[in-house]
Amino acid sequence: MITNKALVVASNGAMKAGVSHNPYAIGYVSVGYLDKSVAAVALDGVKPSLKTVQKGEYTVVRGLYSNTKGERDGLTKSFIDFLFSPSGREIIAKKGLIPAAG
Amino acid sequence: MNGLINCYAKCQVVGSRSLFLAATVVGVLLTLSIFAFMVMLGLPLFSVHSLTLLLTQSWAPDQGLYGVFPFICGTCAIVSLSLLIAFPLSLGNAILIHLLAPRRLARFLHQVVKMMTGVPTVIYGFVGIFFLVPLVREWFSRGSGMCILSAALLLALLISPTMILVFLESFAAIPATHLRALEALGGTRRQKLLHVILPGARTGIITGLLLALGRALGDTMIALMVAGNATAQPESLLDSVRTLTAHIALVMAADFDSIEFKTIFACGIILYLWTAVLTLSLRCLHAKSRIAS
Repeated sequence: MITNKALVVASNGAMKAGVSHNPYAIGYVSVGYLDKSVAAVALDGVKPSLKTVQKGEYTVVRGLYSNTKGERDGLTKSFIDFLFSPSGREIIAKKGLIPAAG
Repeated sequence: MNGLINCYAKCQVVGSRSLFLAATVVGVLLTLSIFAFMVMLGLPLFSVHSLTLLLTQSWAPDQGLYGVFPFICGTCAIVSLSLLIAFPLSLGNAILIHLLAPRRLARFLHQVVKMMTGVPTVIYGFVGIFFLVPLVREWFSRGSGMCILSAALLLALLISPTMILVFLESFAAIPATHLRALEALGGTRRQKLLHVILPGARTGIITGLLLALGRALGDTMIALMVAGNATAQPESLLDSVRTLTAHIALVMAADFDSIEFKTIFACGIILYLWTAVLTLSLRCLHAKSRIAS
């Protein structure tokens, strides 16, 4: 459980800015947002990276979902199909996320 | 011919009157319906958790507690501290511009204050994160620097221009005859300030204070960016807090259609009622001062 004295920020970017400007801070960000301004913490000797997350070695991960109201059809269906297409996956990977398996 | 012009003028009066009436009705209805919508959308929450519990409990959703009391405290702490800082500064600044400074300096300061009213609050928040927060952290060497004090300092900067401009306006509205009478009696500048300007501008000074209070209450960005948004009950000025407005912004960004989400309507209703009370007291104040004069 996280203490209620913990600071809360509005976004991954704000968390990175907050941690990089405070030498005593520690916080959660998505692995895709990691860069040289902050140091990543190893968990059980495993450093977080796209590779270790993909292999399942780094265990603090979360999935992102596309939700629709009811069955997907029309524009929503073609958008979700696009997310799974090669060019869609390429865009997702470029943004530092791991595309879902088919 | 005359009759025709008369008729035309009459039509114009009736036409513009109904136009203004329609605008007023639409404005009032919109404002009231926003309140009605917040109550309606919040009802599912109020039927499960009584309003008194919501207003007095602490915030721990994983234990079934959805009270917004810590956020009310956080809002009050930040707003009152920022007024405490900004009021003397603004009054002094207005007196300097109106009475004490050489004319060119006064005009320059007046322009700067006018310009400050246009600075978006997100800029203050941004500067706060990179400049003020590290300073506060190092000065007090306690906590993260994201706290009531940092947010109140920035908020003071945000509301000061509003206060200064209202104060200046009320100073300028003091009848010249009063000032001339004092000069004819050989009064000093200090007597002018203490016995003519300040008593004469009393209504204006309170108006400025209330307007600034409303602005501070409604601001979201500064608290969201530099107050830290912790959900714990604050115990010191260096503790991180979440304001009602920041709570609304944070929950909106992360959640939808849960009990947590519904609490934002409780926050909205509290803010709405506070603003309504503020506006009504402003009205009463002005009605009273009009009767007095």
